[in-house]
Amino acid sequence: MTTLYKNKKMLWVFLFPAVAIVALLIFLPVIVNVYYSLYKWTAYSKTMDFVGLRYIKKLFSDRAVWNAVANNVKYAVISIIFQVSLGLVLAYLLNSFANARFAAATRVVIFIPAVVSLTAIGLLWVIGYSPSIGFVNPMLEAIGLSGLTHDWLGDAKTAMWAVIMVSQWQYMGEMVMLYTVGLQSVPLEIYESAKIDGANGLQTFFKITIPMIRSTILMNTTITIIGAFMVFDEVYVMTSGGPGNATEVLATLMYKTGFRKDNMGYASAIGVLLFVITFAFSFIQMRMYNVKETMKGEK
Amino acid sequence: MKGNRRIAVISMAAVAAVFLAGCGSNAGGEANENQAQNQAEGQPAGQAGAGSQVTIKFVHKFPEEKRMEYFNEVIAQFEEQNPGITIEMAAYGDEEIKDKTRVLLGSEDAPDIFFTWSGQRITQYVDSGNALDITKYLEEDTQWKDSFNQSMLGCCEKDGAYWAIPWDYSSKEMVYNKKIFAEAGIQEVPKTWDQFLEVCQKIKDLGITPVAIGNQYSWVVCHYITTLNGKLVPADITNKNYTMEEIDYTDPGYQKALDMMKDLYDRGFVNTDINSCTWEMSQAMVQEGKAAMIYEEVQNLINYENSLGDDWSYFDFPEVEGGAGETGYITGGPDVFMVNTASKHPDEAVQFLKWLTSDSVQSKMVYELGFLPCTSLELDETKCMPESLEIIEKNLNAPGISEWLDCAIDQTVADTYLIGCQTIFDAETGQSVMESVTATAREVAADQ
Amino acid sequence: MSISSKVKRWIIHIFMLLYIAVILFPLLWMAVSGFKADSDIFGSPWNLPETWKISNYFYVWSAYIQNTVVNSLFFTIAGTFFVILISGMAAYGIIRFDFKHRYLLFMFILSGMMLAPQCSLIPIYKLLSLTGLYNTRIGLLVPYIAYRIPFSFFLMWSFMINLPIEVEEAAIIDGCSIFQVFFNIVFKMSKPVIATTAVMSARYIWNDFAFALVFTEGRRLQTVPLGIFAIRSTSQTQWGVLIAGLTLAALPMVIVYICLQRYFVDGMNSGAVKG
Repeated sequence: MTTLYKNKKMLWVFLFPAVAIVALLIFLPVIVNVYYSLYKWTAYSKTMDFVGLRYIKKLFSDRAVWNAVANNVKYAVISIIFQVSLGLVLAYLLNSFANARFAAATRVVIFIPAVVSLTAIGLLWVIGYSPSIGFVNPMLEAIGLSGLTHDWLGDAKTAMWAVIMVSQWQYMGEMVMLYTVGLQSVPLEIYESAKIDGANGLQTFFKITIPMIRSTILMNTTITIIGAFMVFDEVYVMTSGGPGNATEVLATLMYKTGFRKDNMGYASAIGVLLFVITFAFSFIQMRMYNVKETMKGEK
Repeated sequence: MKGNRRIAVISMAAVAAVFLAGCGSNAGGEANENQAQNQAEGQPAGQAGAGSQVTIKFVHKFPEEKRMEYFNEVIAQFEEQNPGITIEMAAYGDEEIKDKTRVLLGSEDAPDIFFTWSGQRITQYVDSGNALDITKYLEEDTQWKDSFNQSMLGCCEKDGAYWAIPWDYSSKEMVYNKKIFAEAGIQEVPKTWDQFLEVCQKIKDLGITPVAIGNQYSWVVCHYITTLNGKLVPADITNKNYTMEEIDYTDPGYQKALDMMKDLYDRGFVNTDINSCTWEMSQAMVQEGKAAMIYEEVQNLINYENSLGDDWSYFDFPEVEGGAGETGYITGGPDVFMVNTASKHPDEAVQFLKWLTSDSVQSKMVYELGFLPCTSLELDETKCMPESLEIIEKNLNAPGISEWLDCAIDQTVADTYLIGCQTIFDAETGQSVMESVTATAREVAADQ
Repeated sequence: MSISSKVKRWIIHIFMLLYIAVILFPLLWMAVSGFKADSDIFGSPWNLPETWKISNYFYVWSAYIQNTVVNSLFFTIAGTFFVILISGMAAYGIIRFDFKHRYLLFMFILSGMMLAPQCSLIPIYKLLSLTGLYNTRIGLLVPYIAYRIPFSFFLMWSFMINLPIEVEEAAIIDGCSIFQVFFNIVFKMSKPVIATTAVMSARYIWNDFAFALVFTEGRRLQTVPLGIFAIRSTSQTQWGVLIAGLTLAALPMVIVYICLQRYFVDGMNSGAVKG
């Protein structure tokens, strides 16, 4: 290796900006968050009162927090069913059975919602779900399901599901795209030899496709779960947590607690909880990248 | 009927006492010690040195196009008269302003003048040390002080000092579509809740939604509850509860208020999408003739004039027969401006507030925006919407005010109450909601 | 091909078409309803506008979107530029330089991916307030850059690690400085991954709502998502205007995507997400 690459000063010129900015804006806030959760303070207060672990302890007994966690879990479960599972099926069908150009065009079209901002999508669906000016109920009527028409976002029983379905609508295309990448990396010969052995479509799917792209599936699952716990924009824009607290999720609860209910300390504690959950799943995800191996292998 | 009418300050005096109690403030002592301070400083307000440009950051909650136009004009005039001062304005909608004010006050870029509602919304900033005591400015300029409707100014008083300047105030009326009423064969507007229910039934029979309620932001039903609590619970009890002097919400009237709203909904007198319908959508429903009634703020009446022409009118919220509370109260409260203690130019900030509450600017507000003024004014009847004027005068004789519930009480308690204002239409009952409210109030009291 | 598999293919195609309809209908409804007058909105959602009110679009553009587009463009372009520069430099540094704590630093930057920005809203807000960066361009730009670095770094690393070192060595022998090597050779060879990173970062920054909501105030720095959110509270009952605003906010990214969709797919193809 050339001597230029041994210059320690140059090394820091290249690495310092990234390391500094990541340290200052990504790692430091996590530590500061823990510190803030030990104090009683408001966004505008001039003093902070030390309360110790009171807020951290309160997390465990607070029904509002568990209600939010439950909603995040719903988000995760539904997203796994639709994006991770159904997304895989769609990707597989497109990849294996559809006309190639049709499949490519389909992938492009169903990806479109994923590039539009959540704010616009959220507001669009607020209107779409509205019983007075929306299109969801008329659509149901049109296909003969007028019995199902409903005030989707206004009923505490359906509001969370309605919000979650918007995310599925928006991001399923992205998942299909991610899967397609994985599917196309499976060597065609394997499918051909399976065909010769007389395996049908279903058998190939379960016996070959799924095992071959196992890592993609696991990866998409963790991405989806982390996303489900970080959700903020959709809920804030569509329902801001209501009706009641039916659609409250951790991120919106944190925002409200800090900026509406003037309890920044407790909001920070919720932030810490959110961090612990997302970190745990991210850790699993990172393990799956298997970076250490990759790095050693390439060296 | 032509000519100018003086809306007298004096006739409000009777109201004042009740107002003050309602605001939960200490009506007693005037802050005399402040006067000494004023003299010591001896600086007339707002003497910006020639050449040095002073910028005043001003944040309010009237971002709607017409209202912004008004502020832009008013500010331009002010800047013309005070070449040394520049006003930098920012405006946020009803919802955003609640978070934004807090965030802004915590930042380096804090506004000099900021908007808030009354009640606890004033107290919170006084307690946190963000609100400047402006007593001395009022004492210095007694003409200015006397120009205010004293009950509204009283809402800005706490511990014998003034912390805010009232700019306008809101009150609520039932707006209705006359055409729909006629179609339903309704001769007279309802005076009592029972009559109100009858009216609703007749309208429902026509296949029209009787009452539009856009409760996505739950303060909408909370306004109904504000009114109903006032009618069902004696004022001294609500005052004690709202100021946390009394923690438990034990009065049965609180539950009844919620149950009455639930009943209204269960009878199908409200749009079915009550909790997902936005406030704006409910307004549109009435303006487009899709619903017959809406409990509306007076400053918005002009929108009904514009959309329904002669086909609209209003009536007072029906009284509840046998209610243990007060009758004839206004539901509402003043919109106020506070000066930030961190402001480097408090004198100039007050000078601008004086301009905002001057006769010409306040009358312009009444004429152009249909807002209700907080100062006594010479009003030209030809420039007012007759309904506005009628309400302004009527309010002068009101025995008291029920202040916005969500503003009057502690934020955390309010949040539980507001959640109840949505869940009441679902599985909850008045009893279960009030139990949660009491539980939260206890928690807050224990935390203090 | 057997009949049954032909039928199967037909069923799959029809099913896909239905799915496409479900995706496209709300978007088309939005574009069309943006032309409706307010009284028209309450009519059937299937109806075309009685009169096509193009004025909705012009009005919402000048009153709400216009100035936000300038801000969003600034943040997106500047943010993307710095993300690529900083991540690229770091990736290159890690790959080429030989030093002791290489793996440690690599993991350090990469671990940033594990921390969700949502958890850090309050500390960052406080940090910006304390440093006087709250509600400044830099104050919003820097967090955008920060949270894009770990992923972009990984993306670029996984591409650059396969670049042949021989080209660089030859250039160095020719007397090129390390910066010349980096910008003229490494960056030039990394075009595909730069395009991918750019598209990924741009999508993120253009669409962000939470950071812009908390770290800025007022119209001065308002980005497009905040702008359209503000329409709801300020346009009162003008539904047509609101919907037109949504369409205008969605359009730029959709157009960019359709033009660059090849890169999007390539981006997905890169090692980072393949797993």
